Amino acid sequence: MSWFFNLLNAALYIILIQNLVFSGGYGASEAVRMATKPRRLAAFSIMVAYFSVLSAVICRALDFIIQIDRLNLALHSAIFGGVLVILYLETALAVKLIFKPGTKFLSMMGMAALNTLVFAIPLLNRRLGNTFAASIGVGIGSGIAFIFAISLISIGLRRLESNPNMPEAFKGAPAMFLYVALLSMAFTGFSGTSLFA
Amino acid sequence: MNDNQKTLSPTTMIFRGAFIYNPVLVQVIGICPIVAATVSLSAAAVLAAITVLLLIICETFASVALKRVPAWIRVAIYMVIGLLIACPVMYFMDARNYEVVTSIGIYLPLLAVSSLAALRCEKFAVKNNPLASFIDAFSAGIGYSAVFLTVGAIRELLGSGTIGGRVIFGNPVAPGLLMTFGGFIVLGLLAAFHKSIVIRFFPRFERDMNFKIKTARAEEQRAVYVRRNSVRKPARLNQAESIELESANAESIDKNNQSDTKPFERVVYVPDIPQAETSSSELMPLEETSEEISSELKEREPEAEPREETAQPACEKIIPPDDEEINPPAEGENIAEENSPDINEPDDDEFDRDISELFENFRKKHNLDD
Repeated sequence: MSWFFNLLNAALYIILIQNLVFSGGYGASEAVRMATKPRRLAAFSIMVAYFSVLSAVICRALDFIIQIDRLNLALHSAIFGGVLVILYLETALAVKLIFKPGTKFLSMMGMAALNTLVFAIPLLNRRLGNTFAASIGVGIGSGIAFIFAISLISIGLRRLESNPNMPEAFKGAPAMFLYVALLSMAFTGFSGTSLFA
Repeated sequence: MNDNQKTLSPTTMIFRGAFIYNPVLVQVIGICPIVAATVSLSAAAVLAAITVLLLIICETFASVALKRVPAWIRVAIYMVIGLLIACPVMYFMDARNYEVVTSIGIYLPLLAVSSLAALRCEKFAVKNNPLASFIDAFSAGIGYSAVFLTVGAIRELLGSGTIGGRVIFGNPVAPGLLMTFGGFIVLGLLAAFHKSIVIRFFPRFERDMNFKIKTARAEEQRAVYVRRNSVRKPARLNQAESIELESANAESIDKNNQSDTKPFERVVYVPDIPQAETSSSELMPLEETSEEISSELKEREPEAEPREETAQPACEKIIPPDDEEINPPAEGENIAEENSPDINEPDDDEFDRDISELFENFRKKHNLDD
């Protein structure tokens, strides 16, 4: 049972305290882009969660091979990147053959699979020395945290758009950056880090 | 070489790609390493150099070899190219024990999946020739690197009190800037500064600087509007963006003599949607739809007959006379759209069908089929 709590602990930590989008900037570009298209939020987030979990599991399993475990970060990155590429191509091919989706759907899948958030998770798991269960928890938590982040950014963008008193120079990207900075500051505070010391 | 490259000089392309449509400050692409890893000037320089190299190689290769490869496979190839560049560099730096590797950490391999390279390749390189792609990569790389270095310098100066390792302040002014939120704050202030310059000196590009949120309600209204194609009103170019229908229809109109539409007449479809139904936080349907229709027509332009020189661009913005000297005439609006933020571009399959219905109904109504 301890493995389950290990998994849950890692997932909740990533979702509620150490949101990777705000605390590390991982996948921030994709989060902002998808926040402007709320209609596709759910599908995109599910894809991110899927690729996060699978890549975390496969890459953690590969680390059980001693020869791979001894490699340095550069070679690990190459291997994990290769895993992600193969995982994406296999999934996209399967989806293409079974569901015959449009090109837009496959493009969205590419964006969901090959981004800094999904690629960072195996690397972070290795750097933090997460167990197998914790690695799965980080993968699941990252997907949910990504949904959470996109929702927060989307709500904020709408409110920023509707503010008539905002100076012209701050409308659009500048206001969005500052808004995300405030969210990032909040999540940094949650993790117990001293902000200005 | 398409119209874009014929009408825009390389200098203009570089200026627009690097400054006006800056990949980071305007298009919000590739911000992960900037906000997280650029805590010093040296780290910023390393990341910027690798990004420029990656961008140039990716775009040129995509333009030369990937035009016939399906898009869903291309994005994987971009990542492989990125890994082939980033991992050896990291291996080399790791072996030499460069200190900067410690601060960059995992962000160096993450450059391989940077959205900047994939988006520039997909939006520009696979649609243009290698030379234009190289210039585009170079301009985007310059813009990206400029932001990298500026953010790195500001954060190092205020966060650590040093520049390039040399002590400037005895005590750091704002150590919090070294954290991720500090990167976002610096980026936000830089973006505001950039936008104020664009508004002041290049007002014709101002409209491309804002986000456009595609809410579900706005998209529903757009779909309703596209189907409601029976309402036809005179054009008011300075208020609504017009739709210039394909000029080939003009001959058929003359033959049939059943329509009052003249050759090259500008036709605008104005939505019959009460203003009260839309909130200020949502896009007005006309604005969004007309933009999408305009871009749709621009995409079809290469297939259509060449237009007369006197025809004005369909979505030309009225510019004050003073700006004519600062900005060249609007002959390169297409390239502006190519470089404009991707988040504003239309990408709806259903919309394509709606557009087809729109043109079909129009042809039926005016007996243009024969």
